[in-house]
Amino acid sequence: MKDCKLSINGRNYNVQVEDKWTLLYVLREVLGLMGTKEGCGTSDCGACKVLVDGKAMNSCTLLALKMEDKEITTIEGLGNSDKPHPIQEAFVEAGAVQCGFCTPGMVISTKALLDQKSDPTEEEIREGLSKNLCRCTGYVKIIDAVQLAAKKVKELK
Amino acid sequence: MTVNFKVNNKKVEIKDLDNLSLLKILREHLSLKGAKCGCKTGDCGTCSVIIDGELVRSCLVLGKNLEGKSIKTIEYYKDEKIRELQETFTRSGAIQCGFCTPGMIMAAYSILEKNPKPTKKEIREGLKYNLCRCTGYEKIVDAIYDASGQVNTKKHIIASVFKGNIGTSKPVQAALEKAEGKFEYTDDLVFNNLYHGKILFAPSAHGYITKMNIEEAKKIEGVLDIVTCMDQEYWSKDFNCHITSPFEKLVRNEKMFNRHFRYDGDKIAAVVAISEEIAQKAVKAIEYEFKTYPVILDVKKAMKDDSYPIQKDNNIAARNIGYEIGNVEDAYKDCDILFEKEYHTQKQSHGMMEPHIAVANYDGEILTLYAPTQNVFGFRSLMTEIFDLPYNKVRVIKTNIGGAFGAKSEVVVEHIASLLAIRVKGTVKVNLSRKEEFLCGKTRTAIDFNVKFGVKNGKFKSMGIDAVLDRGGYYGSTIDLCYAWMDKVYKLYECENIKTNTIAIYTNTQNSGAVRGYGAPQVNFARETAINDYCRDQGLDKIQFRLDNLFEQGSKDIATKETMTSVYVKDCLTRAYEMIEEKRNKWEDENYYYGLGVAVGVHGNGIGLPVADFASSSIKYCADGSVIVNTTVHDMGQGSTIMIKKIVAEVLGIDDDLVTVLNPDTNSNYYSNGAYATRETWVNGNSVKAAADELIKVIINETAEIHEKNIEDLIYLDGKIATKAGDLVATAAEVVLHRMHKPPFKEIEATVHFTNPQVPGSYMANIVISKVDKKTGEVKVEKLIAVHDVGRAINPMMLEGQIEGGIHMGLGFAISEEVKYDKKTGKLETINFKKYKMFRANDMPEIHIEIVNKPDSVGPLGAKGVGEAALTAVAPAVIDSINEAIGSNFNKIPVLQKDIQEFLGL
Repeated sequence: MKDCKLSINGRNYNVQVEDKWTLLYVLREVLGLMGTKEGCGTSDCGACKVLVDGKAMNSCTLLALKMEDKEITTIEGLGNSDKPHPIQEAFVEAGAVQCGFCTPGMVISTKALLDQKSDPTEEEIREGLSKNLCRCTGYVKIIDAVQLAAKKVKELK
Repeated sequence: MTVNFKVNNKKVEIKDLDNLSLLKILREHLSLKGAKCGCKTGDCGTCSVIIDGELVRSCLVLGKNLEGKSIKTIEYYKDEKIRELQETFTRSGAIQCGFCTPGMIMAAYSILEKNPKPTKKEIREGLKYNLCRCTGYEKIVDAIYDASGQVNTKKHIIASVFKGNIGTSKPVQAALEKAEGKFEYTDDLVFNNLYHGKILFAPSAHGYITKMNIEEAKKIEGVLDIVTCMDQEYWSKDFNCHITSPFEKLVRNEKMFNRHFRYDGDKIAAVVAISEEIAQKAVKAIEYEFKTYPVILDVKKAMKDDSYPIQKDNNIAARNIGYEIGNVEDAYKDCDILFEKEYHTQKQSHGMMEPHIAVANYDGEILTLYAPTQNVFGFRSLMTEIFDLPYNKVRVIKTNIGGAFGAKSEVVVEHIASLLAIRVKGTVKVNLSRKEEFLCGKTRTAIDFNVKFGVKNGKFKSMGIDAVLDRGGYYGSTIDLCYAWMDKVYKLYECENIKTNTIAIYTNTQNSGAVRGYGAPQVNFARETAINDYCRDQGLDKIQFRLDNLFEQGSKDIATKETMTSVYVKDCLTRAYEMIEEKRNKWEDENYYYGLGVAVGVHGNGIGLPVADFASSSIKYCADGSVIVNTTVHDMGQGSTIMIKKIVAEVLGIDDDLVTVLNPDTNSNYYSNGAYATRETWVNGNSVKAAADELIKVIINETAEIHEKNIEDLIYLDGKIATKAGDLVATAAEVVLHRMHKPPFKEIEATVHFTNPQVPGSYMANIVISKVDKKTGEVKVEKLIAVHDVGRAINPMMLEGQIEGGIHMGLGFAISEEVKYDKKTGKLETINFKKYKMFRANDMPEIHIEIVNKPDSVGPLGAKGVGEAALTAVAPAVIDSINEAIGSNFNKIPVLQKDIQEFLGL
């Protein structure tokens, strides 16, 4: 076991980790942050996306020890049901949530996308979410949600 | 500091856990949750482990002292001796709630390591650091004796066996998991993003909070919210912790936090934080000022008109509750002899091994409460009332219970956990320490009785019993308890004229609540001791006097005039007297005085009038012939799950392993009242029996339709449907499968709403031999005979287990247990198991149990309940044995060593 200092959602954690532990494993099993989901474990589905220094990355293939000195944001860091993030509001309002398993990853990817492009085109949205799989929605309402989210975020600014 | 040690032969390294107890390290850092926390002060032994071959209570060992140690815990399945003990504990019925079991097994392991062939006495000595509140230790001693390879000659009670389900013994549900430490109690469950609540208790026994400042406490990092008695929102609404339905018109005079606090376990604030430690720190940081009011502990003082009002107007919670049959005063005039005397009983604690705990989650819409409760529907009703939520937005799920005995039938922390969860919109656990449990848990109602009776020609002619109840600070279950004790007066002895009267009083003590027996052990102590005193005064044979007066088969309840469904109390007494070799009332030798004590008793089954007691049950036949029973029984180790399985299996003629019973959950289960009033065997048992009978009708109907036969020509037998001529038509499984795969598609099930027609009596006789040390005044109960009339035994081994556990509680009630307060300040003195003395394994007497084994006419397959009857007659028999032995006239329990010393002038 090695000491590992992680900065997650603005809070510093000192955890003991094995060399092989992924960030996803540490988030879920060590820190109990269960919002981030494991859909494949091979970086193909995007359910486990978190923001690493603002970039949406699959936490299932990141080693926890390599995450020191980086700023990590998980779905729990964006908002909660009392104070939802506008993106989360938009997903709910647009009906983009069905089973909900891909949703945290989708929201994280949306956040990364909107941070780069505040007013993306539909094509850009589809491209931005291309690393996230969804089996329920056919992506139609997810695209709507991202557009709505872009509007909401802009209004806030 | 880094510490290296071994747990179950595996290397472990811990860092910076120097001052954490081994128990916490095992449970929280190593996920070994077999060891339980019953007290944290080394008094109960539920956390016992082996360190370097020595039995140790892990709550007392610190992380920094573990270097190089080798620890064995209940999880060490590779150790053959541990495995063997787990099996013998399971097989012997040594497991009820199971909370003490892991610690007991480690103690047993240590005993056998040191002495592979111990005597039973040596086993009892070796278990003296481990408390158990369920079993009376009998079967635990048997299990260890068995594991030592010695032949146990003790036999279980003899019961009638029919198809092989009823009358055969089986351990309680999940007994082996309990023995292995795998059975998860509420504190063992894992919840994500769990917050912790801690309670601030009142600073004294009576007063008023004038100021409170939570600013400093709020600043502590990790504190999420603080609620106090100064807030005026919904949590300051009046409620009654005993309410089982918002429609119940009981007096509501308790708040979640009481600014006017009425005992020193009253709650005045609560903190929710990210850890228990932070919550506790914040509780300590709450500043407040208060003024004190006079502390009234004595009911006689509290009753006076000029006494300081604990509740609004005066200290009378209820008065003139009672009823008269015949004309008692007139009849006294016609008697040969009158007898009158006062009797007093004390407050008794439940002492279950698992203190109160609850986890509540609020997601913004639904409040979900996970609690080891005896009454899921009652708790749901109360939460809907307190939080103004609809029924469908409150879900109560019963978690595994580590003993309850009535404690977990009224809310103690569940509403606090719920409030905090609603406040933070998350998941909150409130887990009481043993001291907090003693402080704010309920107690048995202390009662002062005046017993008067008149006898004519050797028979009762007239009887009047008046009672003054000490109810503590709040109304709670006052009215129910009044009726509960009075009910028992009318169903034991023949007497044409009987009256009862109750006054219930508020004092600055803990709120009295439901404790196993619910008024019956109290009144039974008073009445039976009065009869013993009378017989001694008059030089009468106390056995014969009883036989001349007791109910018998055909007797009618004196109040309701209904014929009792079965009464074999005379058989109980006659048999108990036969079983005792020494028939003198008293004798002595050089060192001891000996006495023989006698008592009989009665307990009800189910909630009495005016409340209708009912339970719904639904049974579904699955496509493979197994069945699922939806009824609400709260198993807490008393064995109600197995009881239900056996009844259903017996009626349907299938193996009880083919029956599954749902765990109580208000979202999925059919309604029933809770596990109290010795009602589950009688009411739920009858309810599932009726449902099983109905299911047979349904399946015969379906078979007739499918196979084009006349219903009248078909019979159901042991899972098969045949013609009366004896030709097999189909198996039940085939019928179910047919209906589920061909039109008209349907499931085969039956639902019954069963209302209890009558409250019967479970009867018993206890005979006790005690010896009193001439030099020290110490009492040792040597032998206890218990013969019970509980109808037909469903599960003989666990029936015995219930009686043995009841005897344990009854012995404590007689001579060791008393909730005590400082006479001046009203502060609770009995705050731990050192001060609150429950019987340990080496204190227990030799116990012999039999049942009358005659079926009841209404009980399910002839059975009656035993849960509370188990302890009803213990205390009066013990006190009688002492009074016989030393010639005393004790009329107040507990009779402690100091009382005897005083009497003997030692």
